[in-house]
Amino acid sequence: MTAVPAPTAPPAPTVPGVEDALASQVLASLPGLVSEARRTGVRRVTARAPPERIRDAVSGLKALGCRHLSGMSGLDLGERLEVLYHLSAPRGIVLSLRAAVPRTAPRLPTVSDLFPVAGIYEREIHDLFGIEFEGLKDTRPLLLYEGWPKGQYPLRKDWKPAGAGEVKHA
Amino acid sequence: MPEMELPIGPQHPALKEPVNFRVIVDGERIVRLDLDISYNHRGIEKAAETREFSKSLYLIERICGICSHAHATNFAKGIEALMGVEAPRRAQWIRTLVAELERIHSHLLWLGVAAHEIGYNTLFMYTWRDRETVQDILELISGNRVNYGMNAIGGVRRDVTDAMKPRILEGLQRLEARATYYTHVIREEETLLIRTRGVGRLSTDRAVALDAVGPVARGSNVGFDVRRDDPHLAYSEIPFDVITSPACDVFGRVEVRAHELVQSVRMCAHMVENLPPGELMAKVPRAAPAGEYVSRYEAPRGELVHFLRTRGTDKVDRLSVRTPTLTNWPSVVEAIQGHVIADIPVVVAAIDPCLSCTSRMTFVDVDAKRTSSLTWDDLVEYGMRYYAEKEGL
Amino acid sequence: MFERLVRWARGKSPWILLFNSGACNACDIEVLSLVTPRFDVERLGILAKGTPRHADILVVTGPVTLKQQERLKRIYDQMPEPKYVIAMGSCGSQGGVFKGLYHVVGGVDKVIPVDVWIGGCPPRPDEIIDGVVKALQVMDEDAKHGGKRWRQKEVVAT
Repeated sequence: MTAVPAPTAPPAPTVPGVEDALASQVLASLPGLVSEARRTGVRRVTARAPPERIRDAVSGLKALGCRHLSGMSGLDLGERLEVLYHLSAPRGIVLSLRAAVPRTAPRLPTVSDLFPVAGIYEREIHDLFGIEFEGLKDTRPLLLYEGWPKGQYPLRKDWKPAGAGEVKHA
Repeated sequence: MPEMELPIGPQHPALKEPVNFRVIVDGERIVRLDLDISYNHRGIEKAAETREFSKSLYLIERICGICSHAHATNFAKGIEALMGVEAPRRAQWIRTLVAELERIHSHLLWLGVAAHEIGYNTLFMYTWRDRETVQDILELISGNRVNYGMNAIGGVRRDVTDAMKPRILEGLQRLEARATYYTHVIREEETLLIRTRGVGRLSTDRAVALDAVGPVARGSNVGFDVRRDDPHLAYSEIPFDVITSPACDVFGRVEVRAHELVQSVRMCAHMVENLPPGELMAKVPRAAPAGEYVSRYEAPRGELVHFLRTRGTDKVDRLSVRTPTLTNWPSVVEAIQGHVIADIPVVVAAIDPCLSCTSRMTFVDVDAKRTSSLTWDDLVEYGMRYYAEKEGL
Repeated sequence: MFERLVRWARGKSPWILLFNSGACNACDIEVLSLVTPRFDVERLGILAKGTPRHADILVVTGPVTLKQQERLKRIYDQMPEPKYVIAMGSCGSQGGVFKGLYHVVGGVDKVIPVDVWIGGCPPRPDEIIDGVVKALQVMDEDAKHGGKRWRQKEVVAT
């Protein structure tokens, strides 16, 4: 690497319609595996996969160019818990793939062999929501200290800290 | 020789972050590196669900005191996206100016801390003295040296006035000279080169496979920069390059940050000189319609992600924060493979760990069934002694 | 302010131990600024990377997370008398913005006794120096009274 390159032109603007194009491509390439693919905003697409086939779905999307997993988020939606896989697609698009599991039996196969960094995100989601990731090698708590009571998942909507009062804000 | 586990920390006086590393070694060679980040976990995501957006902003800004503007801005623009509101152009430029100033302060901070890790205290003092120039500019604009509080939902709370501009530009001029000087120092300083060249190798393919972000990825020739790929704030209007290095080692990461320093200074000067007129705040509703949004930002350490979900109220239903340091951890683990213990401070420091963002080394002599603790200080000193003997430094 | 500091330092060079109990790092980097050229407190012999066994003053940043609670207590116990604690920033006082969060105790004095509080989020380096000077003044006063008891409230056993 040599001298600092002088600033050049600003980046090219996004081509309109890229989100719809990606959504269509995904539905066409991965039928029965990925559904409900649609644009949700500028460079943002959402889609759904059946939980038992999440590995095939993630693998299929990776083959379509989603080579980077930007993150994973857990959600408590009442009867079901959801995990969102935020995949970085070409052209700056984030494709959030969601999989729902029943609250009473929250389990998903791990994708940490497809994206090693997912191992960290799955540990975090387990800490906060109690979702189990089958096949995950390292299942140690990530965020919660060793004295944290087992079975207490703080980001679930029905979880409240013991003896917590209302914190008054100024 | 059987594997040993070596605890380090949690005191890390240079980083000031309460992290615990667990190093598993085979003789002198590192086999694995585990990170315990529970020291810093506070429960911010849960708290955001019970605080109005504007109050959440104060909390989110303090996820990390080093990249506080990154978190606050990423959250604010995410809520704005959900509200269908755009901050005015002048506000976007001011947010971007502060973002790049933050990158400068963060990279200078890092350069100093990394230098300190290898006993190069002069460079630590130089960089942190220069960093005071950035602190002064940030204080002039925002009123605070750290945790600037520039953002509101809908725009920025303070203006960059014409009266401020000459002082800012003067400071930037000084910084450009210093930053350029540092790009030379890193290539010429023997101590630095020995401790960084060929150390902590991470090939381009592995950087991609492990989802490395920020200067760690770019130091392995991966041209991933959210400012270019998913333009936000004013980045689609301001000229800049994505800076990469083919070195694929710690030196590559150092090189990328040093050159980003120069570039960010130039970007700031450009923004001050070309600041568009206009309002600072857009009118925003009290509540955000129900929806979900992934807000991304190129923080000094790399891609920062906030997933936001709203349900028609003035609070988030869910805030999920993914920080770049956590993402880069697998890359550190890979990069340190087969290295000697003496290299740990440098390889870990090279990812510029913001462990507060991420929420924290034990050496256990399994053979003798004893736990001995090394403080980070001991490890840093060990590293310096090791290389002093090895290379006659 | 620096003259006062020099006077105190000439009398006794206090060793300071820093402990981050789960802070956002703003306080920590402002403390670190103290040893850098603009503020340069090291020439006064004030700042040292001590182990608990050599420290006179423990400076604690952060709201004290549940994880750090035990360690904080242990470090305090390891310090020899006379020992002093400075709680940094809003977090150190009562948890700051993190008060009430589920992984946070919320204030250093919930875990160990505190002698001086420095307000701010974060406190500026000059405010930190001011706080350290206050701590030295308190130490000096206590020494004249033969310890801390003169300023502590009597706890009446019930």
